[in-house]
Amino acid sequence: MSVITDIITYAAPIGLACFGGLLSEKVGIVQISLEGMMLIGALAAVVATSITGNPLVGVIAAMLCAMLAAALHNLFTLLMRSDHVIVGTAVNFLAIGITGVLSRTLQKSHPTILKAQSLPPLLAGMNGLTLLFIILIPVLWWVLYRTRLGIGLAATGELPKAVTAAGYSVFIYRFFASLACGAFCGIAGAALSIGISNNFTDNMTASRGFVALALIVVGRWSPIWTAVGTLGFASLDVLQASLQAAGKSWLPYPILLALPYILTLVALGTARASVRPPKFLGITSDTQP
Amino acid sequence: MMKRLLLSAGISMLWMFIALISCAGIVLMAGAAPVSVAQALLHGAIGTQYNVSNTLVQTIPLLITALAVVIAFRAEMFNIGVEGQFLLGAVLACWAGQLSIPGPFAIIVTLMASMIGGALWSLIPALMLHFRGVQIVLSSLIMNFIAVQVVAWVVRGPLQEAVREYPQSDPIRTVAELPKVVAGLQLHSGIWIAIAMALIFDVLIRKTVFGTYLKAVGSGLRASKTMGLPVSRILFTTVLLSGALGGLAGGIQIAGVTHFLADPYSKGYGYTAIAVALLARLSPIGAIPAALLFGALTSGSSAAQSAGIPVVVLQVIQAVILFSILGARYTASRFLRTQTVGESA
Repeated sequence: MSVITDIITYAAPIGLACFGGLLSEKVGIVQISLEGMMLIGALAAVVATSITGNPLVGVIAAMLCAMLAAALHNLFTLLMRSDHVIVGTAVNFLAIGITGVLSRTLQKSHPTILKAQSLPPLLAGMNGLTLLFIILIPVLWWVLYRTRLGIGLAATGELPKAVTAAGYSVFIYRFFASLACGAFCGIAGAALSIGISNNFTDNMTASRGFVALALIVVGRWSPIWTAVGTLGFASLDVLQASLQAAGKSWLPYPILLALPYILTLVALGTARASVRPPKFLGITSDTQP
Repeated sequence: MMKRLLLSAGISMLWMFIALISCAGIVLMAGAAPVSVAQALLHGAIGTQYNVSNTLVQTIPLLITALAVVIAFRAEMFNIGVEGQFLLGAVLACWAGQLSIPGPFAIIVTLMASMIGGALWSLIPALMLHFRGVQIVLSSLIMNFIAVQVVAWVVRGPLQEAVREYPQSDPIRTVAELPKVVAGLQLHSGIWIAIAMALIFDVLIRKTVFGTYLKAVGSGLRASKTMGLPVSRILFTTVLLSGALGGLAGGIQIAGVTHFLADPYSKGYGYTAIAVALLARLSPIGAIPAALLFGALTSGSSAAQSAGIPVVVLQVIQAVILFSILGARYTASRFLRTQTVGESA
């Protein structure tokens, strides 16, 4: 039973980041910066929790700080129409740098600030953010496929012209979807730093944001399949960790570490050819794909 | 004409100013004095003969990996897997450098092996794109994580030193090393290879049919297909070429600087290369000063550390530079109403 709890807990940060990326890709914005926004969220959560002693404040701080990064992403991708991949790369550089500089500076003046109490378990040994991940799976599916908002989001990524013709604003959809992506990534970072762990370390996201990006493709831009992929990835991660802890492994340890990535790559390659991303994904123009 | 020139100079100045202010702000936030940090950076980059040599040594892998990014990004192939290709190049160079091959051939075989390593590592994303339509930006990135583990494995397994104490390889044979440029300094002759590569790729892009194809594919995939260009073949070649360059950078690092493989091996050259390439506006010749700037920043940042600034501040500076370039391009396109500042990238 505890293995399943472990798997879901490890899946939560990646899964939440996936949901953020999913929203933003639906409207056509490529978010290479999931990783950076998670990292910002992870630091903000630890620092705010450590100062106030309240993990809930930490989660909110993580959301807000990551949304700030998303706003910067918006400024360059939506207003200046720069290439999404380049802006995302820059946001990632910025996140690694800023969190590195800030965490060191803060630690110099307040030695214990990078340690914070973890989120308390709420149900069956799972914390609030892990439960949020589970609840969001059906909720997000319902929003994306069964509501007016979901259709508007999908249309923005598939045919922005139609959205404009129907009297809606492509800009507004994109702007807020991207902000929501930031919020999700912030929560994902918090799920890592005060959910799984109880402190902040340099580059602690360890490329989970990039894995999330790949899992969105593996999950064919559907919240349910993406969540399934995330749980699969997390199972491998937990298996790998327990094999290492038990000290019995028939494979060299580095290969075991690479296994989740290799299987993600295989899953990427086997996704049906008919699956395709939103038509205007990464396109800076609204009229021509 | 004069007015446009002034305007474009003004825009560049404005964004440089914004970039400087942002960097100074970050330094202040880290609790250090911007002026003393700037002095430390400058001294660390060009203060002494040794520091100049170190700047150039840092420039070499950055320039070659940046060229790998340039060629791929020109075709809109976002190969951000140069880091992994660099690592695999290093692995194969380390293996080939230990083979007993007579004198002058040793170095050639070593560097060739590194290029093959890099190209093979980029072959997987290329095949996945060709047959399954998987975006390069994702597959090449995931390959990076696998490459890190490959290095971790080979230095504990097949390539581990004979005494089997540390996770590192034995050094390559002396004949396989790149000679030093000046006795007593670290600077090695890989610098000539790097510059030659920049010149070769400049000619390749500007003067050959392949370069023209590259431009066509990069500016419009569908149009190129309609025109009957062998799009798949061009993309395939581009990705492999990019991978080979990434591998070469790793091989030169082995043959010129470290002479052995350790875990972890790269300082993230493959990622910095993206910033370098974009700063150079995807021009191979422009990559030379851009790589020099980042080489100086890398060399200087270790000195800045003694002035109370963590090395990670370098990442912030990289980000600020990238954002400023994007901002400057946008402002220029708004006010000059043309694409005088670089091509669409």
